[in-house]
Parts: sequence; structure tokens; C-alpha cells
Amino acid sequence: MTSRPNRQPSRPAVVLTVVVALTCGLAACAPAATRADDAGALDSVSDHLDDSSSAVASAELAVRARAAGRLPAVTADVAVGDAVETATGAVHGIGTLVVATGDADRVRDDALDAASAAVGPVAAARTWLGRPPSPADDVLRALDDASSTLDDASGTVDEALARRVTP
Amino acid sequence: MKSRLLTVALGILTAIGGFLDAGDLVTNAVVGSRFGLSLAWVVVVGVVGICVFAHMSGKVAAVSGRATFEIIRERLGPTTAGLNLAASLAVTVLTLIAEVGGIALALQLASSVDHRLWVPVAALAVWLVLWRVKFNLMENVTGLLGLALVGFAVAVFLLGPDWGDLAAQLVPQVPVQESAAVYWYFAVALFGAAMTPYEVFFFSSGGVEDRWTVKDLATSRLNVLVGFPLGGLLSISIAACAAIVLLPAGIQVDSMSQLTLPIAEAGGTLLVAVVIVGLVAATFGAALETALSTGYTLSQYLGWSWGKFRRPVHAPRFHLAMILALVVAVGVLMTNVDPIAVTEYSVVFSAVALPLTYLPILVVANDPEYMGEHVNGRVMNLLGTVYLVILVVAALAAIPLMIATEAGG
Amino acid sequence: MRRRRTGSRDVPRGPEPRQPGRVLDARLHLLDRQVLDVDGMPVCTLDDLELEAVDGRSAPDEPIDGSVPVVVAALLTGPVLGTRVFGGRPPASRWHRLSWAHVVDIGTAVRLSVRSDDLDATWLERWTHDHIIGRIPGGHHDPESS
Repeated sequence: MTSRPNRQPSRPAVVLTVVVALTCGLAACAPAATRADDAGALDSVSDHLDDSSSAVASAELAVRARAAGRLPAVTADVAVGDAVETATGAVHGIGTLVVATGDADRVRDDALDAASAAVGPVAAARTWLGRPPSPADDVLRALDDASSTLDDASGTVDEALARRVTP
Repeated sequence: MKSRLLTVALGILTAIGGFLDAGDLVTNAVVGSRFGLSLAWVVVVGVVGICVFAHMSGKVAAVSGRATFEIIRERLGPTTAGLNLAASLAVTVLTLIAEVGGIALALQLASSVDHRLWVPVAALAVWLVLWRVKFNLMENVTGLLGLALVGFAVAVFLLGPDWGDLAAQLVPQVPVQESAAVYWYFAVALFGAAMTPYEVFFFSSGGVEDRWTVKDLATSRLNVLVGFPLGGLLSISIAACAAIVLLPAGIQVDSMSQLTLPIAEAGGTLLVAVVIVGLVAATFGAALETALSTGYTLSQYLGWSWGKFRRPVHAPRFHLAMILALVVAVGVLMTNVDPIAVTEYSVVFSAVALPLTYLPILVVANDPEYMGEHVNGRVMNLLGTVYLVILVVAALAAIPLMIATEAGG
Repeated sequence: MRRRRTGSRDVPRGPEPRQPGRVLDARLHLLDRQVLDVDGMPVCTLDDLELEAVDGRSAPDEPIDGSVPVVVAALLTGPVLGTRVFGGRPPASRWHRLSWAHVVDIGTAVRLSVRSDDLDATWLERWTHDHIIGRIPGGHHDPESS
């Protein structure tokens, strides 16, 4: 015998709930790289460039704080290490996008160049942290350059996106 | 009298220090770096909600002497309570994974040793405390060390922001560069972070562990009503730090190390060290609480012997359940998953599971058989019902928003 | 031992005559309640009741329809969650019996007059104790004493 027979939810309802939950979960995890249309791809490029800029800015803040003696060496190392990871992740993200048209392809290539160029200065910042104290000017200048290159690339992507919206 | 004052002060301090967990830390920093303080109102709503429900679950434990999940099964029957258990347990284990990952990330900040190497160490330390240490001692030490997160509030003052500008950000509005869907997605996430479901089970079972009686109700109410709002203020100060330093620099928070950047700018090495201690203590305390909550919910539903006040051999299945939960957490983190991403998902799924855990406590708090003369008053029930509506709306919106925004894009 | 389960719910019954003492609703006050031993140690959750005709005349496995007065003979528990949630009836061997004679109080929990270590229902608890938790160093340490 079962107690409370009238309290059991109907089985189809339970099955439906589980199926919907699983589908939703899988849909949420679908990688951005599988999106086929170019507007979506360019959106993705723009997001990855933002990540890249964010990584460069983080590294810059960490290097400045370290140079001023305000951040412990180990913590600065972790912060810049995380920035390297984000920057390389952005390069990987842009590089694995699938774009259909030649126009979008050119924009993507420019973005890829800018993102790749940003990895070097961030990695150099980490090397600088590991060396005996020396002026941070060169490292900061390289990071600044990378940052403005990324800004330019972002501008190009935004223009391309705007052209799509208003042909 | 003096010792009573000390007890109250200790209770309030541990409530403040224990309020924040990995979910709060990460979500507030992410939100602050993207939305400034325009989502601070969600923290306020969440803090009032957690006060209401923490008070209710503490009261149920103190008056009836029985823990929540026992009563949930008794009142709702094995099927409904079983579904509830499955959902709560899944979210609690997800939160445990996030917390253990959080300890590892915080230890990495202090050592520069990769967090993946810290994960087993962190889990082992959590287990040792669960195995050996007295409940009160565990709560007080992690709570007091967690107070070091006051460093975030100190940093806000040291940064000396334009206060008028900061206050203007408090108005709820969607920033130009973000879409409305993303704004509401993070609102739900922040809400889930402030009101994590495991807390209800933890407060009610913790009340039984601490052997609360009706006499202790006033103290517990004071702890909650003073401690949690101050803890919420710490949450907002994390968002403020991110809004002052990271937002203008175009930094989107995706790692725990970025939390230290505003602190370094404000207070230098010393303040960073203090905050790192706070990060370790807060995530460690929350890992203990979530691990205990998995043991509590499972044991109470199945009628096993449970509780940290017993020797482990007198609650063997309870301890086995916690060991298994920790093993699962280590296993998941060893797959090289990003603990920050796990944390971000855990707060959203918390929001989904919230109505399931909060409805029963509201029902039980109105049950005269368990509560006698201490059943909820009219004001408490009104508040509880209003919150239940908010919880249901947030829970229903969470998954569609997650899909629409690709988890915040 | 004659064993009965509580019968189907739709049997028409007249209003209950007034009983001396306390009236307990089996579903409301007994099922799914926590069972505690003499020391307050949780034993199990109550899954079912074993009913027995007062005169002991009716044959085994005959459904109880309310026509004969019955008494609770034992509290039943066991690994029967599957059948309780999804329906069906587990074999009798699955049940662990806790004699009604051991029950001393029914409040927000059911209290027994025996120690949980002496009961069959806690064998899994003892197995986990003997084979896993008891073997880890410090398992016998009293956390309250430190």
C-alpha cells in the first residue's frame, strides 16, 4: 500500500518537467561558436574583444599597483596570470568563429590580429613581475598600445555591425 | 549581564562575517564592474528576504526542536518532499563546488600556487573541521575572520569617490551599453546569491545543533536583524569597489584576483592581505555550511541520526553523506572547470530552487502543532507571502533569461 | 503474526464515536514522523503501520474494511521509499518492525523506550559505523568536549 495516493503528481507532468529542465540546461550551454549568421558572429567578436581589453586593463592596474608597492607580488602574479588566460581565451574564441561572408571575414581577421597582439604585452607584464624590481614604463607602454589597438578593432567591428543593421 | 552582551555581540559579528559566500563575492563584483550600483536595490530586497526566512527557520527550530526537512517530509509526504530534496540537494552541492573552488582561488591569491592544486587541500581541511571541531567554535572562527571583508567597505572610503556620482548610480536603470534582459538576468543572479537556499536548512539545523530554545529567540532575531543588513552593506561595498575602479577601466570581472585590484589601489599591501584572509574565511565558512546542509537535508528526510554535536560514530550516515558531497565537489573541480563559472551558475540555479525551500518553511511556521503559540503573526505572514511571490517570479524568469542572454553574455 | 496494512480510504464510515483520551490520525500524526529512541537519537522515519484485528479472528491477508476493530501492532519502516513514491507494495521481508509496545510518546516525534542500537531498523547505520566511519581516526572523538 502507499500512503497519500492522492498526493502523487501525475507522471507525465514529472517527465515533462525533467525534459524541459534538461533541454533548457543544454540550450544554455550551447557554445557561441556554433552560431551561423554573421551578425551573431560579429557580436561574438565584439564580446571577445571586450574580454581582451578587460584583460589588458587588469594587467595594467596590477602592474601599476605592483610598481607602486601596493599589491603583494604573489597576488599581482595571479592577477596578471588570470589576464593572460583571458587574453588567450579571447584569441581562441575569435579564431574558432565561423563567418560566412568575406566582409565579416576581414573584420574578424583584424580583430584576431588585435587580440593576438594583446597577448604579448600581458605575458611580458607577467615576466616583468617575476624579475627583480625595474621601472615599469616599457611594460605599461606596451599595454597601452595593445589597449588602443583593441579599441580600434572594436570600433571596426561596431561599424560593421551598424552597416548590417542599416544597409 | 556582561556575558549576555558578549554573546549578542559575538552573534552579530559572526552573522556579518558569515553573510558573504563565494556567490555573493563573485556576483557583486561582476555586477559592480558592469552595472555600477544600479542593481544595489536587489541586494536590499534579498537581505530583507533572508532576514524574514532566517528568522522563521530559527524560530521553527527553537520552538519545535525539530529540523526543517523532517517537518517538510512529515507535512508534505515522501513524494513532494522527495522532489524538494532532489532540487535542494542539487543546488546545495553545486554551491558547495563553488565554495570549495572559491577557497582554492582565494588561497591561490595568497600563494600564487595554481588553484587546482589547492582544491584537494581545501576539501580535506573542510572535512577535518567537520570531523573534529565543535559547531560553535567553527561558526565563530569563520564568522570573525570573515569580518576581514570589511576591508571592502574601508576601501570604498579610501578610494574617495565622488559620493554624489556614486549615489546617482543607486537609481535602478539599465546602463546604455547593456540590454534590459542582461540587467534582469543579473538581478535574478544577485537575488539568488543573497538568498541561497542552503541557508534555510543551515539556520534551522544549526538552531538544533546549538540547542536553541524559545529563550534564545530574541538573541537570534537580533543577530539576524542587525548582522544580515550589515552583511548586505558589505555586499554593496564590493559592488561599489568594482564600480569605482574596474568599471571606468573597462574591466569585466571574470576572476577572483580582480577583486584585489581596487583594494590595492585603495589600501595597499596590508589591506589586500586582510581582504584575502576574509576571502578565505568567507568561502571556507560557506563550504562548511553547504557541506553540513547536504548532510542535514538528506539525513532529516531519511530519518537518519545527524548533527555535529554527536560523535561521528553516532551519526555515521550523516558524516558519510558529507564526505561523499566533498568527494563530488573535488571531482567536479578536478575536471578543470572554471570555479567562477560554477559560482555564476550556482547563484542562478539557487534562484530557481528558492520557492521550493521557502514555501515549506512558511507553511511550517504557521503550523500550530509544531509552533504552538509561536505561529507566525500577521505581519510576518504578509512579508513571507510577498516574498514568496517575488521568489516565484525570479525562479520562473531565471532559466528563460539565462537562455536569452547566453548566461549574461 | 497476522499482518495488515491500513485499508482503502473510500470505505464509507459513520462519524467516529467519541473516544476517551487522545485521537490520533494515522496519516496526520504517525506516517513520515521521525522516530527517536530512549536517548533522543533518531532511529528512522515511520513508513507504515501494522494493524491487527482486536479479536485476532480474521484470516491473514484479508483486507481490513473497518468492520472489525483493529489495533496498531507495530510501526513499520525500511528501504521502501521507491514503492511509497511510485506506488506498489514491497515484499513483507523489506519491512523492519518496531513493536507498538515500545512506543512511549507521540508528539512532534515518536519516542521509543528502547535504544536504537538494539533495533533491526538501524542495521545500515551500524554497518556504516563498523565498516567506514568507525575506521577513520577520530571517529569516536566527542566534538563537544574540544
